[in-house]
Amino acid sequence: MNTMSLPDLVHVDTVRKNYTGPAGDVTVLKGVSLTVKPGEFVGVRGPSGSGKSTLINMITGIDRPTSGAVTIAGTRIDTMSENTLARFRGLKIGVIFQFFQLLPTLTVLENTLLPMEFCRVWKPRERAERAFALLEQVGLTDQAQKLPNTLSGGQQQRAAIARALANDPPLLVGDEPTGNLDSRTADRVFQLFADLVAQGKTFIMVTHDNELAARIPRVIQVQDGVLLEGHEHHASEYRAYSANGHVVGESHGLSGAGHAMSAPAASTPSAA
Amino acid sequence: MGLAFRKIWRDMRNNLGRTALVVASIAIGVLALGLIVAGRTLMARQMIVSVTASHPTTLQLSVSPPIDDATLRMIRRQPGVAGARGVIYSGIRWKPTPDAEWADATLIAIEDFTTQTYDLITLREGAWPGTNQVVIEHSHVAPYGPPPIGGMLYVDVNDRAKPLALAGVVRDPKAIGPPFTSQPTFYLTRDTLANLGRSDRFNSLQIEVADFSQERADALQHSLTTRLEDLGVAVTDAEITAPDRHFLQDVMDGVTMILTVMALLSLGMSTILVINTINAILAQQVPQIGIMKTIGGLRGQITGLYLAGVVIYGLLSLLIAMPVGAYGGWALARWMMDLINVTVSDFEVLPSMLGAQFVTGLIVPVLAAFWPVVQGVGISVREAVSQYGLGTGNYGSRWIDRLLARVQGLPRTWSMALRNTFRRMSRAALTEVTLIGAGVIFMMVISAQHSFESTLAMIFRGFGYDVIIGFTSWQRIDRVTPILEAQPNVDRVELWQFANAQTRRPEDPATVADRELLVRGIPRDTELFTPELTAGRGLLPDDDRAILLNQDLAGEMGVAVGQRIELDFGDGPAQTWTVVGLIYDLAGRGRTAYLYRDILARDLGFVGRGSVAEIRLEANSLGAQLEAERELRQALEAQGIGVGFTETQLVARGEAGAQFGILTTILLIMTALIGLVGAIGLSGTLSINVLERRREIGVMRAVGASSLDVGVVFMGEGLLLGVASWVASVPLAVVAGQWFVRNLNETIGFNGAYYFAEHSVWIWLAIVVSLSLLASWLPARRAAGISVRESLAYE
Repeated sequence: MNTMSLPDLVHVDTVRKNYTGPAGDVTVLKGVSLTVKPGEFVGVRGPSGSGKSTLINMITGIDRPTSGAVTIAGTRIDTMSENTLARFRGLKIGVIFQFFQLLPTLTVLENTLLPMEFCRVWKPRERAERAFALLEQVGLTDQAQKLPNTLSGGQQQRAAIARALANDPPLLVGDEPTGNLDSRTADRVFQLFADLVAQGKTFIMVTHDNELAARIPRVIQVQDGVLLEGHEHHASEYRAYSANGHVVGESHGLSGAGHAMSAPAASTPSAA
Repeated sequence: MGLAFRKIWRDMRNNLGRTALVVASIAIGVLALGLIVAGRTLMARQMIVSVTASHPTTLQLSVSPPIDDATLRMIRRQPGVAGARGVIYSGIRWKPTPDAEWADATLIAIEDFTTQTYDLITLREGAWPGTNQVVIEHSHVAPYGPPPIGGMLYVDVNDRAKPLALAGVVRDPKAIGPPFTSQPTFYLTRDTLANLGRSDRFNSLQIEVADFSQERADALQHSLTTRLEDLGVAVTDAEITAPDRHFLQDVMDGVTMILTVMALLSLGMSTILVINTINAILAQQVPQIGIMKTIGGLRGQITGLYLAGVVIYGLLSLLIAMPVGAYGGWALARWMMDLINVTVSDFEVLPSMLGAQFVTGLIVPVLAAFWPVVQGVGISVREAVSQYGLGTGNYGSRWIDRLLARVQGLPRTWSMALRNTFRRMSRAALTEVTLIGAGVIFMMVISAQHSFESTLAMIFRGFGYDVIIGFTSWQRIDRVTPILEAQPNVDRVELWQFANAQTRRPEDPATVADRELLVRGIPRDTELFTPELTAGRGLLPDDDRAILLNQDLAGEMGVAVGQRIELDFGDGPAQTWTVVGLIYDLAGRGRTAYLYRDILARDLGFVGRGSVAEIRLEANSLGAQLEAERELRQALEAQGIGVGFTETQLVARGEAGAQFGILTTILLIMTALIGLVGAIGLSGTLSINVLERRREIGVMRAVGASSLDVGVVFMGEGLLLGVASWVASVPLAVVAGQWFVRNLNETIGFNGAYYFAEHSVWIWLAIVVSLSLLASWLPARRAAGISVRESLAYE
């Protein structure tokens, strides 16, 4: 399907972000603009201090721009009140963190259920069914009743992914979601992301990992608070792989802002 | 929202130390309040029950000379008198066995024990006394050890031991026991009293004022006094007590008011502790708050969660505070009521106390935690989720950070301790408030005790006697003095004259009532009497009708130094005296005056005689005083000189001090409670600091810090907070102590001076240093036990 005709899911319009700290004023983003279509898999790269995490924070609403506008699914979020934004984010954006950020005293299942309770989506009986389905999707049904500190890093990140999917948001955002994982596990988790994109989710992630970046269809380069012109690249041959090495989706290099992959074959959840 | 509450509950369960800290913080304040509410309610109720059950009289008159039955019947017929009973108070020496030492006792006789109408003395065991029998007040049985019922005790009648049988045990609503009294009270019939050689006429009238009001009671007192004076009977003392008030109600009200203030202070401090601890808990929960906001949690939802957690803390604290407060309050009431001979029922739980505690235990913590929770939950998501690594925060941007950074020359760990102490200013400030509060209260209470003891010492120093002996009749000075001087250990003997008089200002109209006055005639060459003057001068050798007046009485009468007053002893015309000085004297309820004995003797017609001997000893320990008291009495009685009463200075001071000692004991218990709050606060603050700085500790470890180094940082912080609180509390205590002592004195009716107890400063320093080290030891130990891996791994 050609997503070029779909309205933008993410629209960042001339966003500037300044911080005032003990060391003085710093401009982290200098009038950045970006659009992401539904179903895109977008990577964000750049050296430390380049502003990539700040850009992600603008998109998730975790931070607000000094000037400019951020629109998600047609709704401007940078002017929303905190409460409205929290609810919007719970419903529309699934955030995956580098350090997992699971609530330590809730089990994996309970962490997954929590966003549904906060946002009051799904009937109570349906919530548990859905949570189990999400855990199955990420391969954690056997760990549903365990507490986060008994899980490996990869398992925790998969639990965090299940939580991010709890309210079926159209957009998923990860800030270095594989940064705390070994390469093998990172690969498996990445595969999960690819599977989700194949299922129609839009995914934006910050990554330092060159290998993983090479597998992302569209990668944006950030440096010194600006998106570098001509440095956005699209994988010429992007393939999504299943855990057993089978190709489950591929794209062929196209220039332009972005495009969806071809519909993937049915995939089994990878076990990271 | 069940899941979210589950999170809160598990947070509490997984951090038992922290939960215990918050629960203890709340429980202390709620417990203190509940204890005092229960105690007050029980005491107030039981005092009224006790009073009303005894059918109290409301006007008590002491009369001299004692009156007979006919006069008593006349009194009963006077308008305004609903009823009256006559009482005879007397003193005697007694012993429980023939071999024991003689000791003083009080004798009380009434018309008829079996047909009482007022101030009901109730029989507890045995039978009412018959002829040559006595009964004893029940609260005097244990301390004074009389024989069992049916056994014999012995009283001194003309130097012979006369046996009397103990017939029973009674409760007299007007009797109180040790430490307020130092002798037992025996009750007997008038004919037994007469058999002991005592007068069986009434020297006290206890009257029920018809349709009691203060105005009617005052008017009746005046009319009866006039009526008795017409019969040649002087009223030497008068007291009015409302029918629904215990005669010690004012004192008890004052004591419970002070305790209530202390309980409220405890509650206030525990509230501060709760604020501090909740702040710290929320600081720890910041990342989780951020995550909950990220996944859709609204501010109101998250605020409600944490406030619900506070409610749970409150409920847990009630599990401790309610039963302890209930029992403690009952025990406190029982103890205090036992002291004043009021019965307290068996243990009961008061709904009012439970209600007050329930409300306080839930509402106060929620109110205390409200703003910290709102602030904590209000943190932005960005700040909340970006907390990884050590971070720099904004340390270094404040003037104090830069000032402390200039302090050089300290070992590195002490530098860190110093700077860490002021990193979280609001948390440090709240911790300091509780410690400073505890210090101020401690020094105030010790200063109050010191003030009381110093005042007593000053007053007794002004009298200078070690033993005082009152005679049953006027004695020749030249006869008695050599007898006393011949006894071992006697350094000086002075014969004084004690007399009762009425006084007024010469210019006062007849409508102004006379005032009672206890006059002491001193020898011109006195060495013992060196009173504390508050105005004017002392008596000079060539003074004639010069008088020293008690400052309180002078204030009441509106008399200043240089002005004149009249003294009327009842015999002969009133004489005019010039007030040359005002003295600080607490004897006689502030109604004393001092003048030269020889002039008084002329007015009274007792030249060359004295009624009281004041003796100074060479060695004056308690033992020496008691031995001298015994030997002097024996020497006098061997010469046929009747001894009415004897007293040693240290015993008299001890009795006066005992009442205050009870109050200061209670205050010190409350102070200990407040000190505990301070220590818990300090320990909590340091524990939270350890948790917040786990990563810093890990980095310290990674660069070579030993366990001792890490421990020193935290114990140093605790010690600095403690010592800083001490520095701040001292000047506050000096100022607050004055206010406290003044209010305390007013409460207990003691016009004492204020003396700041300097030793309390050093005692508190030692306590606060110990508390600080103790409070910081566990957190420091925990910090020292944190490994690099444990602290730098992501949690």
